[in-house]
Amino acid sequence: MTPLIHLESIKKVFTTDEIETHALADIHLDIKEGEFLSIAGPSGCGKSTLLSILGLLDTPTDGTYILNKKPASGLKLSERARIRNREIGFIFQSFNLIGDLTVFENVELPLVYRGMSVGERRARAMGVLEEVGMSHRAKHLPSQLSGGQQQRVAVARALAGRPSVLLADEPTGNLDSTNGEAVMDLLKDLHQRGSTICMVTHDTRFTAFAERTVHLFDGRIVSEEEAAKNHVP
Amino acid sequence: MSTFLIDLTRAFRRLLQRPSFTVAAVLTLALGIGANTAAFSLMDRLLLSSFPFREPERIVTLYEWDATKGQDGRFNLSAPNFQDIRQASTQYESMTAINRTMANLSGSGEPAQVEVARVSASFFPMLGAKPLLGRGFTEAEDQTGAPRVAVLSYPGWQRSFGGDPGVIGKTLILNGESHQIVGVLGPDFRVPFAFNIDNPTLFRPIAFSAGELQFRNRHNARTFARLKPGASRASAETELKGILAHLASQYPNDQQGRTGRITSMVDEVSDMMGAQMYMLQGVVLFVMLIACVNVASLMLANGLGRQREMATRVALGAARSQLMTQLLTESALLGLFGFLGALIIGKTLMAGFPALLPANYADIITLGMNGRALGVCFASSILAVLVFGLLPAWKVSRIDPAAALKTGAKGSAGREHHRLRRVLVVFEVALASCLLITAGLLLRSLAKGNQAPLGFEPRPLQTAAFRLVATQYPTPESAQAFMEQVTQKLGTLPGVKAAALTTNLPQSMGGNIGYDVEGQLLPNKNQHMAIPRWITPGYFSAMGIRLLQGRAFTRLDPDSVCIVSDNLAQKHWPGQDPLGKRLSLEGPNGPWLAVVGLAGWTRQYAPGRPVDPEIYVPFHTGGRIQFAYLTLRVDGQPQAVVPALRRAFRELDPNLALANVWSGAELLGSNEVGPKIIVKITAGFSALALLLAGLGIYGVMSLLVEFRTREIGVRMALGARVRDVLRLVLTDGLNMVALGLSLGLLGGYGLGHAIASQLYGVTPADPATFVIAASSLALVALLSTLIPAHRAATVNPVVALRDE
Repeated sequence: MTPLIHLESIKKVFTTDEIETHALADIHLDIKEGEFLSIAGPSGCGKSTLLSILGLLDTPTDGTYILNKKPASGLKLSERARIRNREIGFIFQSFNLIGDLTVFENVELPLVYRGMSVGERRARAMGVLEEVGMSHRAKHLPSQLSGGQQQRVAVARALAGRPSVLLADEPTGNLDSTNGEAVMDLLKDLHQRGSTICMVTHDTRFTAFAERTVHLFDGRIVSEEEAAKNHVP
Repeated sequence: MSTFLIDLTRAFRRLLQRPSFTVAAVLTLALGIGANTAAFSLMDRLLLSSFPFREPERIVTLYEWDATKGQDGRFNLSAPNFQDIRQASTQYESMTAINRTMANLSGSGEPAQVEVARVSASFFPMLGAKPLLGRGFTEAEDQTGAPRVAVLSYPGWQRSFGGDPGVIGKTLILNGESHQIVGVLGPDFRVPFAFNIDNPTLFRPIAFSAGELQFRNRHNARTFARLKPGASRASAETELKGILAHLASQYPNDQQGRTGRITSMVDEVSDMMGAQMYMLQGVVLFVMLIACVNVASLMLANGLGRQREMATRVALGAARSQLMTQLLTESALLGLFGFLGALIIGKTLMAGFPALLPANYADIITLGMNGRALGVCFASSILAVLVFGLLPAWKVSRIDPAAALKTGAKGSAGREHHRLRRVLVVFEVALASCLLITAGLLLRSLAKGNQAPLGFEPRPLQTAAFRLVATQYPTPESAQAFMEQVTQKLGTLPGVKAAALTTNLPQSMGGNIGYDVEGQLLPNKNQHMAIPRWITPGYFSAMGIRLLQGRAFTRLDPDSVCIVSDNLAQKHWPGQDPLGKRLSLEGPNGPWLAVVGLAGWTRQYAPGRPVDPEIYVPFHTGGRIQFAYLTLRVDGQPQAVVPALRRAFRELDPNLALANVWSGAELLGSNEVGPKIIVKITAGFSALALLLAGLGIYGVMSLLVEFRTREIGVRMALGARVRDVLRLVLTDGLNMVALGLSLGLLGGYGLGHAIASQLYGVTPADPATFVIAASSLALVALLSTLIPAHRAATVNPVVALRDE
């Protein structure tokens, strides 16, 4: 079966002045459709850089990235924006809800960029808010919500575009344990209903929610662990 | 709802949610655009109103020209030349003459001295002016002996007839002669040309008299013509030169050496006010730019706070064009609010303009937000949005989303924004200092001009003008007898030390006359030019003019004497005694006037312009003089004698009206009003620029301090004292200001040279101006930096270190 995401020999080098920093080196990774993958590792190991590349927010210095059977390198900015809008849903550690917009407006934002009609947007946004249990807060501003509620809205926003993959960057990092677990339960539920999820975390409590965990260290995948068994590539 | 409407409503909400940002940006924009609009309205009123005509580019002015005298050799046509040229030329659709004069208007309430324009019948059709009521003149009415008719200007209709809609067919009395009113002009009508700030009260046909048609050296027909389609100014000028060459062969005594020149309306404005107009436009542009830089800086700061939001939008799939559109929508909305604010500020400034004018002009210039001003205001707003909105939108839309999501506002993009904002502050300070230097030079020049010797003593002096009703004083004897009565009676008024009459006052833009000097005749019948004045014996005492040699006139002087100004004597008889020398005002064959006195020169125009020679002739030898100025040297306040003056005139002739009842100070103020206004406006704009620059520096420094709060916390944790932090922030701010000031001083030096021709008594590198401008800006910059510096020095290190 062709993987949804295929990374081959991905390398990322940051150059500042005369110093080269190798953030990622020789990354080979496949993510299958419907899979829940967790990327783990200590701070500065390249987790977020890898997620940025997966989310087309950044480009690799070298290597091949195939998303949904299409090469993701060499794309124009507008094409990358279109793919982000249709194929990828982001969930951030600090939620990144836009403070001026209501919950509903935040959730419908990717659909606005897609140029969807008002009626369709409304139905879709309210649907996902129902799904995460936040429809009753649709008219509130983010500042009127708790952290856990804000992250639920962020998940709804990521789901609104019906993306091929959800990319979650430390989704529980800014939440207390109760809210953290609630958000993880939500992700697990989404996965069980067929969503493909790729989550970055360094919290070992939550890697267990994933079917597979890859461990990064100094920009390289040093181990891969499937639920219930260890595997060293 | 379309994406645009969503952007618009959210932009609106966003501005409402940030009142301090919105108010700062809108106020800055409103000040910049409002000032721009008000300045435009003034220019429009003073200058561009000369063009409210059909196809103005085809309207030209015809002159006779003595090429040997350069710009001073340009003359209006004489009446006979006007007729000959009109008959012979083929390049024009129509040609028209105008001759402006003062007259006594009665028959509509109190008698008044009013300005009357005599115009050809083709005058209104040529300009494309359609009367509001009634009609213009017919060719039959433009003939001597035709029934007398008049067309009222709109202000004349309002002033003298209270806007009576049934005025057509009524009669008015002009210089004692009855005229039937046949038309009223609309409010937008302006007489060409160009810096006349008031329309004549009324118009009547020019119908040159047989007397006027005799003299080819009386250049009293200002001539406008409309070029035929296909004719050019060059072809018309070639034809005019040919006709004048033919006239020169026919009338060598008057026309020898004369050629022709044709100017366009734009040339005329440019000649008269070009330098000032460009200067004012430049000043306005500077203020607009400073305002835009300020708002751009605010927008950048605003954008900086939205790095994470923009990155999130990018992550959600927003294309760069969508981000740009959203940000430009916000800018456009700000521009719209700025436009609305500018309407209010522009109107307020316009209402304040009369305060800049001499009191005797203040009621004449009324500025309003007309369609053109509104258009300029709107266009300025759009321009401002493009200037201040594009750069920040472009910068923000180019963010690196991965970095911004990681670091928010405090990442590398933040540093880049701050660099840009520093550049903007340097630019702003440079612009403001250029403007301050320009204004400083102009103000000092004006002050020097006010101190420049005038050749007469304007305080305490009272002047007024009057015109005799021709039918009441039909002979030279009757006119002279009345003038004698006036002088006698005014001399006895309480508080009057000396009273005199003259046909022309210094500082009142009188015309020149040609003269010949015995033994120094110019080749080709050319003449020297001087200002002629017919004066009564007390003139020099009343005006406070020095009599340097010889004597003043007496009532017994014959018509063969004159007094000349010392610059005329110096020109013709350097090192010689001028007394007894002779000159002629009527050609090289005399009659000759012997010089009996030498007077100090008096200044006719603004300082910096050449002082024309003057020739004084006894008033009583001038025949039937109908128009005169009276001058009274008084004790105390000049205005105090005005009631007695009016009373005396009513007793002498109840039909006679006084005009231009001005003190000496008002007389000075009325001369070259336009340039003076522009200097004052430049000064006002410079103050505005200084204020805006101060606000800009404050804004940037506040943000820089906020950006460095953590760094300052670390420094304080490491032992930095309050004064160390103050020094850190002040040095940062003042370095930017110093760089901007250095560039500004260089720019100011260049600008000073560019306006050197407008300066009097001040060099373009005037040290005092540069020092004052630099210190003012440095002081404002210091004050603007002190507040953020103080805020930085009182940072709580614990809070600062936690705040990341």
